[in-house]
Formats: sequence, C-alpha cells, structure tokens
Amino acid sequence: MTNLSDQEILFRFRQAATKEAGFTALVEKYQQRIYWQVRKMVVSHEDANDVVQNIFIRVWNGLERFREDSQLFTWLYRVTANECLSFLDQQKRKPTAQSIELEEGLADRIKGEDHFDAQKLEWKLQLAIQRLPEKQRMVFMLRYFDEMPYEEMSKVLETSEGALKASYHHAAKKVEEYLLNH
Amino acid sequence: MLKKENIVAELQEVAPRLPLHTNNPYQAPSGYFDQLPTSILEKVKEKRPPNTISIFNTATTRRWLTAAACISGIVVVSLLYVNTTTAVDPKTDSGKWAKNELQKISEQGIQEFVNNHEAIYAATSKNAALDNKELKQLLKDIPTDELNAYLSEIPSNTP
Repeated sequence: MTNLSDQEILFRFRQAATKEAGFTALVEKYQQRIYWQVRKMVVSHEDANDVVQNIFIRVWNGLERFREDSQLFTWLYRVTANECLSFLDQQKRKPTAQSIELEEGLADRIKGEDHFDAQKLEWKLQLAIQRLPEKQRMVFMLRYFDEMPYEEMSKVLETSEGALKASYHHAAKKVEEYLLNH
Repeated sequence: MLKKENIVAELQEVAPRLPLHTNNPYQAPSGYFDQLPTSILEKVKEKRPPNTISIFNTATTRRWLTAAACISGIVVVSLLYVNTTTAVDPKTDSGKWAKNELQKISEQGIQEFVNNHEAIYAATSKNAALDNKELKQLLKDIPTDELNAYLSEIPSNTP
C-alpha cells in the first residue's frame, strides 16, 4: 500500500508525466477499502471486480475535476456508492429465468460462498444485511463497518444527517431482529 | 477512539443485542490486490481516446484565449470608431472634414501655430487695409441689396 498523502497523489495525477504513477498510487491506497465495501453490497467476487473496475475508470475520468472541497476518500466513497446502487438497480431490472427477488438472489449467493457456515455469526450477519433495501444497506455498512460519521455520510449519499440516522437505527433493529430469530 | 465509542454507544442504545465486532467472512482470490492496479490501468488505457493535444482543454489556455479575444475586440471597436470619425471626403463635405481634422489638433498646437504665424496675420491685415481702393472697385458691380443680405448673415464682430 502506498504511503503517499492524498495531496501528493492528486499533485502527481495532475502532472502529465506522473499521471499514471499518481493514479496507481491512488488505486493501491484505496483498493481494499473500496473492494470490501462493494463486495459486501454485491456479494460475488466477479461482480465486485466489475464494479470496482468501473469505479476506478470513473475516478480516472473525473479526478481532474475533483475540486478538493471534500476529502478525496469521501469523493471516492460517493463514486463507490453510486456505482454499487446503479449496479444493483441494473440487476433488479434484468429479467431472470427464475424471477426471484434480488435480496433472495444475494442470500443464495452468500450461501454459495466457499467458506459459508450457516452457524457462524459473521455469515448470519451478512444474510441479515442482504435483506435490507439497498440504500439502507449502504447506510448500515458505512456506519457499522466503516464507522463513518453522519456528517461525512451525508456528503457521500447526499442525504440529510437526520434521515441517515433514522435509516441506520431502523436497519440496526432489523438486523438485530434477524439474528435473534435465526 | 472517540468516534468508535460514539458508534458503540449508539448501537447499544438502538440495537443492544447486535454484535459490536464480527470478522469479514468474504475472501478475495489470492494475489488479487497485487494485480488490480495494473489491470485497472490497462483498462483505463484501452478506454482512453487516442492522444490528441487540445489547446482548449486547460483552464490556463482558456483564460489566455479569453484575454486575447477581449483585446482583439477592443482593437476592432477602436478601428471602427476611428474610421467612422475620419472617413469624410473633403471634396463632398469640407466643413465636416475640417472639423474632424481640427479635433485632432490639440489646444496647445493651435496656440503655437497662432504665435508662430502672428507676423503673417499682421501683414495680411495691413495688405487688406492698403487694398481698399481695389476692394471698392470689386464691389462696385454688386447690387446694394445683395451686399446688405451678406452683411446681415455674417457676425458683426468679424474684422
């Protein structure tokens, strides 16, 4: 993982001679955080890989216009959130032979993961999270796993802090209830 | 960590039986993160349009172009103004032409001209006085009515 600061990465990206090196440093620095965020949203590695690649292509195309009025990672998270929600929306619209709901499809995918163990709490938690509506799931994960303050989350999801807080509390109760009943 | 404590406190309040920490159960393929930056860079290069240098792309270039356009505009407007004020044919409108030409001469220039040519002016006045007889001869054939009409048109303080 690169040790460069966000300012150094941006500086390198903006110089033609060091643009690719700056971009590579950015990918190295943030790839794991972005990948795991996406993976928990879309479940399968193949889908996560596609979404992550799209995210970084968008970053390459849009970073020139990044005005630094927010932190680089906040901006990256916004791109990530938009790309994830857009991917899940596309999946929903796709006609499937079995005509199953997306949440059920994701739960099935979790059960199909290599190391899945229905008795383990971490897998149960993932099953509970997949039952949440997409945006609520995103809010829950940003707060529960990434410990993101509501103020920053508000910039990422472009939603008021109050609405995010209510959404998180609601999600946390639903997840807790699922864990108690399964 | 303060932030974490806040988050834990909040969770204990809204969903006290939710675990505070769990492991990430997913796994990424081995070596995935080592090759991801290279793989993304290759994708970016594939999708990048051919290298064309556009002079309109940078903010600095745009600022220079705007400044150049403004200066060109000022020059064009000035030239048009100068052309409209001087483009008078002295043969068709000598009065206007003379007025335009005089506007170009400064007050100081006129004053210098008068000072330098005072002797000529004085000589001309003297000649005029000496040629009084000749003048009477010239005016002899002009009717009195026409002379009176002419005198009423010209200012009374004309020398």
